[in-house]
Amino acid sequence: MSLVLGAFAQVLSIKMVLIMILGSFVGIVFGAIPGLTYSMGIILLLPLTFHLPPLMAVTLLLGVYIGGMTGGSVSSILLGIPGTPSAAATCLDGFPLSKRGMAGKALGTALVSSIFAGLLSVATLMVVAPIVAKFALKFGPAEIFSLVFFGFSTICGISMGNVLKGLISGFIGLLFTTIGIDPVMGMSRYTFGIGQLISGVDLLAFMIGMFAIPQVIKILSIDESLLTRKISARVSTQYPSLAELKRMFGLMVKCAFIGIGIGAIPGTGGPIAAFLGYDQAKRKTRHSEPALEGVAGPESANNGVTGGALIPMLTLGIPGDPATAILLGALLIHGLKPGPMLFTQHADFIYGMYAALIVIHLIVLVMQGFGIQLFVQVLNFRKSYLYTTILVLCTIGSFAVNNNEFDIYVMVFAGFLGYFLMKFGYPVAPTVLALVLGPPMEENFRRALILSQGDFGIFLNSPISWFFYLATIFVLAGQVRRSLLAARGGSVSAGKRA
Amino acid sequence: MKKDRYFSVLVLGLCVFWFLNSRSIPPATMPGAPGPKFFPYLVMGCLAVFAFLQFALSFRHPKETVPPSTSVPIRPFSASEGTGEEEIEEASGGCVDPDDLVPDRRSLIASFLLILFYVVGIDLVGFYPATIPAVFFGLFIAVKGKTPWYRLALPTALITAAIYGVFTLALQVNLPAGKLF
Repeated sequence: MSLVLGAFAQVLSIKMVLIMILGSFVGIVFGAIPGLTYSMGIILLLPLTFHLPPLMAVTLLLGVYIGGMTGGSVSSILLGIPGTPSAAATCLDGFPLSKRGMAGKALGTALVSSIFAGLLSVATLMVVAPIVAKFALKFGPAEIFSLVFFGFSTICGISMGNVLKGLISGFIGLLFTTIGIDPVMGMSRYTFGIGQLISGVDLLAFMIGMFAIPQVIKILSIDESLLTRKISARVSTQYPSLAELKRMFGLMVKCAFIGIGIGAIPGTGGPIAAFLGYDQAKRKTRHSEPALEGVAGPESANNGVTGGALIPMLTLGIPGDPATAILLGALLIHGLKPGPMLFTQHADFIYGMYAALIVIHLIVLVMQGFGIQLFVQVLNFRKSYLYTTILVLCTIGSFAVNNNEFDIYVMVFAGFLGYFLMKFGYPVAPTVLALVLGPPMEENFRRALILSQGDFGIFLNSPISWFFYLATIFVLAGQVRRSLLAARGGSVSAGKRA
Repeated sequence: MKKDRYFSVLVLGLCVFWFLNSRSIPPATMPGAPGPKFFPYLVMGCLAVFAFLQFALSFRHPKETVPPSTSVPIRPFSASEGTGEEEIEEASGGCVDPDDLVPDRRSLIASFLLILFYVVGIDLVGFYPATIPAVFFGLFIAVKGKTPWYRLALPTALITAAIYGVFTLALQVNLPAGKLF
């Protein structure tokens, strides 16, 4: 109890509240503007946190995460352009409602359902995370390897519906993790005669490149008017009535838990949850007409993901989605290693984070509710100015981590790689997440073999390992089945078009 | 699909390149334990198998596939066919997916070159001397001739000044100085 009170006292200091307001504001802006994502927002703000204490730094980034997830609905509803991929489902009913003069109501419903689901996901995180962390203390190198392997394979599997492409993208990322000093014997590998590569590829510079540069290239090279629809009308948030809330409450709870569950599975994330939420909404309304449920369902689901995705990241060190992968990197930069020991050695930090998550949700509720007109003006801002500035911020961010100019080259290399991956239809997220998961995967794999003196049976001795291998097979088999069904469906549709 | 075929050949080439660079890595020092080459070999092997599978599948599935990210289809707005003008007219009725928008080839090449020159420029002449022209040409590429070049000077100055204010004056972040000066 004293920890909880202490956490709230810490979080409610003026400095922390200002940090949360800043994070939430940046998050809503990045979420609202099409093409900018909250992952990009987190990564661009990360260099600003280097001089901050760990809790303050993570709070700022969590503000961007939650603000971004919630703010994505603004452009979905008002412009019919999803602000983030997670808000694509919100667009389906939100934009038609907006055209029928119900923009305020749709925005209010999106906001209330987002905050409700977000808070529910935080509550779930607070209950589930300590249990998972306690259980994870029993893990040895073989079990940790099986867990990381599970995380990695699901990340690759659940990516744009094409398992093979996801796996290729993920293994390309793994290949890059082999650059530099090997984690067990300390020998230099794959430096290609470049001295700076001895310490490996800088994770943050690589992430900045992968997430931001392809978007910069893309937006600079398209006609920006295609992403710009001017909103001249005055918009205000209208919250749903009690009767409407009562009608949608069951749906919101259901979709929030769908989001939490999806978020807790490594590599899934908001877009899948949001479409499942939309599906639930349509089942409830039983008609194709746009309805508030079609906004509440996806928004509850995608915000449920936030707390869910933090569970594996904090307890096991496995990111649930790209945003939590960056948060994981941020924790490491601040000397905090996510995993079960984080809960015993830095309990004050964990409780501080819980308190910050709750307060951030309330700040986002107030900020987006009352400041909607400001965010509408932000939508009218020229994309060319934004993306040119982002290019400059990327170079500052990648340089500032180690004060090393070579990291800017790493960022550009990763950016070009990311662009070509996207161009060829390969998901970028598995490559980035593989960079996070690769080192622990190799380290635990080799440590387990050293412990067993080269006996591979160690990987199959523990029921925990078996559980994760079976879960891997189960998830991958499901994805392969979906891929095959989609390929068949795609062929049919392609044939029809021809 | 041809794209997948080319990409899988590139990935196979990457595996070969990695393999050739593995020869200089020393072997394991502990008997029975895998050495520093083991994990890279494992990754290379798996990647090569996946790339080969992709290569083979590219002959089997010439038809277009649709990613099954959801059971609920997003309301159709395909910008991959037709010109920009048709797209915006169509878009006014439905949802736009930013990922569907087709880039202009000349602007695309210019964007790549801009980033390359910017990075090399930072390395050679330092952060601010490289940033000012990079911002200007970035805006120039983005506006695609719809705004006269002299009207881009003010936003260039404002963006650079804002960055100087935040990072150099307020946060006192060390920025690259450049090798030439």
